[in-house]
Amino acid sequence: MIKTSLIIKDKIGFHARTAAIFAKAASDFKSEIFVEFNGKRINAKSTLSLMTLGVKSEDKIELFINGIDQNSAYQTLVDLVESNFKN
Amino acid sequence: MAIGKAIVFENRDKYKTPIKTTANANEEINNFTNALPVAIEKIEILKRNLAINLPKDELEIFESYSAMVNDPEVIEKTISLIDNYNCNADFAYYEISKEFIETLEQIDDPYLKQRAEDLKMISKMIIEILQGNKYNSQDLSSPSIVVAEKINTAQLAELNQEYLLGLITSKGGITDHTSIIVKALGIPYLLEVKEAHQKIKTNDLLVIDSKNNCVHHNLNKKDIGRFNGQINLDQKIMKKFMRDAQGEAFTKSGKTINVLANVGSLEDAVQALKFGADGIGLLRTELCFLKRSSFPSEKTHIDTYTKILDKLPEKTHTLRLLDFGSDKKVSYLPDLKEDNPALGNRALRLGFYYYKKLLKPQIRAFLKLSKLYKIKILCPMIANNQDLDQILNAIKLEQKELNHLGEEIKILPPIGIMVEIPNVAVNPENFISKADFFSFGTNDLAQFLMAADRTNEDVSRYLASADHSIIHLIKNFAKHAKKHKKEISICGELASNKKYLAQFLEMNLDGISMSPSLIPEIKAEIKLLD
Repeated sequence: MIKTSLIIKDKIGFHARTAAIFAKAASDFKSEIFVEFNGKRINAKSTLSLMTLGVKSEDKIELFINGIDQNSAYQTLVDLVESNFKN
Repeated sequence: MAIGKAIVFENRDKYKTPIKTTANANEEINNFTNALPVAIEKIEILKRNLAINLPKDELEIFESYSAMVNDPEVIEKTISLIDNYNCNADFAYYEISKEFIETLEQIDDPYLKQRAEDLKMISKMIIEILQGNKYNSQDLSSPSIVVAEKINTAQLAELNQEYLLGLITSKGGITDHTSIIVKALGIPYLLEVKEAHQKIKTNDLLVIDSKNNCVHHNLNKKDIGRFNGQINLDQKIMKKFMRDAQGEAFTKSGKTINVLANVGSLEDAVQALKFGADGIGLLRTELCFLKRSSFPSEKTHIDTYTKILDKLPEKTHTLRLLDFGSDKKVSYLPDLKEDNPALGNRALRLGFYYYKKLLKPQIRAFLKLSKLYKIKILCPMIANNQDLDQILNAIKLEQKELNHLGEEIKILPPIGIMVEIPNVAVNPENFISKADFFSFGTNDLAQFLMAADRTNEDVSRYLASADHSIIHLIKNFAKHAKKHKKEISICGELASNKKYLAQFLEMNLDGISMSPSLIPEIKAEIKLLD
């Protein structure tokens, strides 16, 4: 299990585009991936769940990854957020 | 402005999904999973319907629709609800999507609230598929103004665009996708006209008056005549403008100025030709390569510009060297994470940083094209004489190398400075002899003069008040340029401001460059001047 904190730098936060990109990237992995924000924990592979978190620009989210490909999932998702969702 | 018969659309948000128990939950689950690809296909069709009229960026909306349909959380919860309660798929899906819609509506963020509307549309689409309803699409059979309480993107995309004269809705805000799409389609529209869908009846004759932001309703014969006259006049004027725009525009006393087009794509070049541009005054080359994943090669540069230049092969065109960085970021360049990107490592500064991959192939492409077309090379973000020397030397070096390879580039095309950094704008004397021409980039110049980021909505109001200083700087620069017989022009917002047109002519500027669709009106205005 890997746990890490990430800051969402996108100007709007997790809106339709960024949530879809993040969920799509998460879906490529077998590991269970969760995002926790404001006391709510959701499935990171779900665009709609990510949107319902209401994450705004500069908000900090917690990422939990658990499974056989957790290391590459971690690297991919952290890179994605750090590159500000360039895919 | 648009005049036409109203067609009032019913609100299609209302439907029923009563709960039914089923003996075979698996069959309902199958129905549900089979409905999803049908919905995806439907979204693809809608996307194709709009693709002809919409810019690519706006089509991204449809990607998020597909993600909503295929959302694993919604799918999993719906399936387990069917399984646990032995209920019908449409009821289960309605209940689950409702949870998400309600959560989105409660978020304190106008953008995400609007996404609830998108999900409602998707939800309705899937329920209609599940209920086997014949999709009762509302289309137009004659030219009409559509009136609705609200209208979603799917409804809008279904409409025969040829017959869509205008759109009026009672609800709907500026961030929703519908308004983004109608804006991009370029039809007259009014949103949030209270009770419009109740007060207006199908077949009522309406006028959408976009200039005064209102709807004229209950028209008598006299009104109709007046509005028809106005619309005919608007169209006639535009047609006449476009006809007259072909060819140079002279003032009554015989003065002229080139009215040029700002171009960033092949489509823009087509527009430039249609609207009578006297040439391309600013080819923003970086815009041609925003969507790539690797550096454009010399051949890619040549092919891209050839297509554009071939639209107006006889005219003289100004090609600007790449201005990446700042607000134009691409995947093949690292994200520089600068605090002040507009003042950072952009344009030629970045070009020299990645010389071999970025600048060299472009310079070579320009030089090769200069043998076939009348082009001028414009250098962006020149701050001092070192910058200018550096790029002049680079171009000369590439010329030499190409000639070694047998290209025979005997004469360099004119090389000019984009006057956008105040240090250049206030000191024409220091630059006038070294460059062949000067083009004022008023957008960047305004943000540098006012210390106000033009991408930051909170401060962009300052930019308009830079006009006075910029006019002053152009006037001074033009005096020096004319003394040394150098060409001077303007690109940027200010160039199309009619208020200053007479002054531009008085300063003897050689050109003003603007968005192609503004050219006919500006040329018509020139002809009215003394």
